[in-house]
Order: sequence, then structure tokens, then C-alpha cells
Amino acid sequence: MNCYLETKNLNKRYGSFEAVKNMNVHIYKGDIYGLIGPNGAGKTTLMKMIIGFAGPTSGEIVLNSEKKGEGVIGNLIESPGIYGHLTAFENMMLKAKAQGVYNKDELLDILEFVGLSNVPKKKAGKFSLGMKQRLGIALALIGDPEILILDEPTNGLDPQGIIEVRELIHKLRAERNMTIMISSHILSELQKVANVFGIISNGELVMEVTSDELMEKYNGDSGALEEFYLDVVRGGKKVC
Amino acid sequence: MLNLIKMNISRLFRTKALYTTTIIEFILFFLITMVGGEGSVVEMAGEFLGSGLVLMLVGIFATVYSDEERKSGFLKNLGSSKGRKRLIFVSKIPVIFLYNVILLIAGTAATYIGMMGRGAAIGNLASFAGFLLFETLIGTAFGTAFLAIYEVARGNVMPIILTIIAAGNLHGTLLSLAEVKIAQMIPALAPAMEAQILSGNLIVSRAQEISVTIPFDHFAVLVVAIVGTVVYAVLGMTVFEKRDTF
Repeated sequence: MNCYLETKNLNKRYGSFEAVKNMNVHIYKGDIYGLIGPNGAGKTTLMKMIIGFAGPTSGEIVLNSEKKGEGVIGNLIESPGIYGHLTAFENMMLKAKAQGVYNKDELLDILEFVGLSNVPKKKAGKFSLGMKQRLGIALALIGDPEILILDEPTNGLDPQGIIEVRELIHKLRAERNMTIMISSHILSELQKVANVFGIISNGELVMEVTSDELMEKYNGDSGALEEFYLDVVRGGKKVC
Repeated sequence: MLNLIKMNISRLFRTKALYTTTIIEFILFFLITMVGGEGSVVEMAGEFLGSGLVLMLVGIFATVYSDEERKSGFLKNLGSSKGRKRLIFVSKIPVIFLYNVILLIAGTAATYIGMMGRGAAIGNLASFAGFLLFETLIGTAFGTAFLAIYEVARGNVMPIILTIIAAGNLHGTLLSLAEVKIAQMIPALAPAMEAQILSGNLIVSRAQEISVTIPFDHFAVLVVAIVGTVVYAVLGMTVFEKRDTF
């Protein structure tokens, strides 16, 4: 089976600092790919390069998409890109117009999908963190992208917000068969949503492992990902 | 491209800076004309609109408009391929053009209302229409310059300081003094420098020539407006495309 998204010897250098080193990531259609690593490991840089916000110093990103042009990749990087003085719908409308896909009903459907249809007049700046993240995901869904890149979408959320985002990701996979790359520091949470994991440390992809392999290795332990991560990153042990 | 322009125009009318700057300009022009001022309405409006305040507002608006897009992170929603990045930059130029038109209309309206009841004549409307057209073109070039300067600086403090300096043509004065000095030092260069004086062909220098009452070189203003817009558009596109978006 061909990879849907693949990076080949991807490198990113800022001056003398190597943020990403020879990275080879493999994502298949319909995967939820969990990206794990300590702060500064290169997760966000990798995601920015995949989206196109940052250019690689060397290497290649191959996207085997059926769609062409902008709108193949939806993103939520670091924080949602929203105008605080506008409503959720107005933010959505601006993005849809920019992509040439403005359709009021479709936008309202997306807002319904992410659970923001009940706040039509509220300015996005007044939203809770969870609502802002959901609006960020709603914006990422405009234009029906094939892949979503979500960088720590549960960052700063309370437990309820985390559950909401998790349910949303499940819904995206179940209802839209969407391919998703997601990074998070909450390993137990990531284990609940992703089916493949990539572990990054010091700009290098240390290992890729499927959830099935993990479950097999740790006898179905709910803390398998955490144990695995500690084994790999701290112990430098290659378990798979 | 057209989609991005449509989005930007929708966004323009949802931008607070449009309303605050237009209201400030309107109140200022209204109060000045109410207190005093002689001549016809179009002469007064021409005097105010050509004073440099409009240029300053355009430069500040271009900076604030770009900064809002970057600081809010909304730029992340607009696309990231190289070609797309060029279009994202260029699609803001029609907004600057439109903003110029709005400022000129608001300024003219404020002057007219301020002079109402004083029996002032309207003046030569044909000449005023030409004045507005050239002001809009040169203002668009000036705004495009600040869209580009913002992309170089990626912050709003330096571009706003530069706007204030540039709108008063302080850079033109400096350049002019340097030209005089060079001509004094190397007399052989003087005739050539007089013929092709650089300080006289800056966007702001040409903007200062535009007048309702005094004839000005329309062709020279047009050339500077077009060349200025194109040069700064290319500079802005190149910088925006070459640098990482975030």
C-alpha cells in the first residue's frame, strides 16, 4: 500500500540549529497518526513543513492526494487562527471566501458538527479555550480537506474540553474517514485516538509503531504508550 | 486571486481600523472647515486631502491590516504554497485602493458639511475629480509600500514610525539636501542631477505636487504611482514568499 503522506530525508535548519534531521514519516490513508516528543523535539516544525508554512532545508514531502491545489490539508497549528472581534460564522465565511468555497449552509453544517451552532452572535474572542479549539478545527474543515494536521489541539483545555476534542476526532474518522496527524503531550489521550505513533526526539524520528503492536507488546495495558515512550526516549531502547 | 480579493473586501468592512481612522479624519476635517477656511469647497478639500494626513492614515492602515492578519493567526487559514503566498500579498492592494477612496470621500464630505451655510462655492468639479483620481493612485502606491515594509519588519512599530516620517516627506528632504551637497561637491554632475532629480520622484514628493488649483505634471505622477505600486508589490511578494510564514 502506498503512503498517503510521506517525508523523505526531511531536514530543517535554523542557523546552526538542526530542528529536524533526516525525517522519514509514513502516513496511510485513514490513519490517525500521533506525534509524540518532548518540547523542542521538532514536532511543530515538522507539521509546519508538511503544511507549507516553513520550507525544508532539504528533503521532500510527498502527498498522494486525489485533490489538487490549496485545501487538501486542513490545519490547526499552535493556536487557532481567528479574528477575536468576529463571530465564529464570520471567521468561517472569510476563510471560505478566500478558498472560493463559500456556501452558507455548508458552513452552518460544520459549525453544527463541531458543536458551535448555538453561539451565533458571540464574538470568537469571548469563547472558552475549548470553543476556540473547536472553531480552529471547524476552520480546518472548510473546503473538505483530505488530511488534518492538529498541533496539540488539547493544549490548555480542561478535562471537558479534552473529551470534546477527542470525540470530535473520533467523529471525523468515523464520519469522514479523514487522515489526521495529531501531536499531544497527553499520552493517555493520544492513545485513545491514534492508531499509529511516531516518536520524535532531538529532531529525529526515533520510531514509528502501530497501536496494535503496542497493545501486543504491553499486553493491552491502557498506559502502554506512556511506558513505550519512556522506554524509547529516556532509555534509548528500541522495543519494536 | 479573485477569491482572496473578495475575502479581503469582506474583511475590510469588518475591520475596526477602517471606521476609527475614517471617523478621526472626518471629525478633524469637519472641525477645521467649520472654524475657518477660505475658497471653494473643492479647494479646501484639496488642501486637506493633499496635506499628508491621508497618506499617513493609509500607511498606518496598511500596517495594522497586515499585522492583524498575522497576529491573530488567520494567515494560517489562507494557504501556504508559494504561488498562493504571492497572491495573499497582492490581494491586499485592492483593499488599500478602496481604503484610499473611502478616506477621500469621507474627507470631501466632511469639508462640504463643515462649509455648509457659509455660502462657499463648490468650485471646479472636473479639476477635483482629476485630483481625487491621482491622489487615489499615489495613495495606493504609498499603502503598497507599507504592506511591503510590514513584511520586511514583521512588526508594526517600525512601519508606523516610518509612515509618520514618510508622510511628512522627511526622507525626501534628506535626500534633496544630499543631492544639493553632491552637486556642490561635483559640479559636473549638477546638470544631470537637476534633470533626473531623485528626491522629486519619490511617491510622497509627487503626492505633494497634486493640486486642485495649481497645474501639475499628470504623467509624472502617474508613472511614479504605477512604478511605485509595482516595485513595492514585487518586493512584498518576494519577501512574503521567501520567508517562512510562521
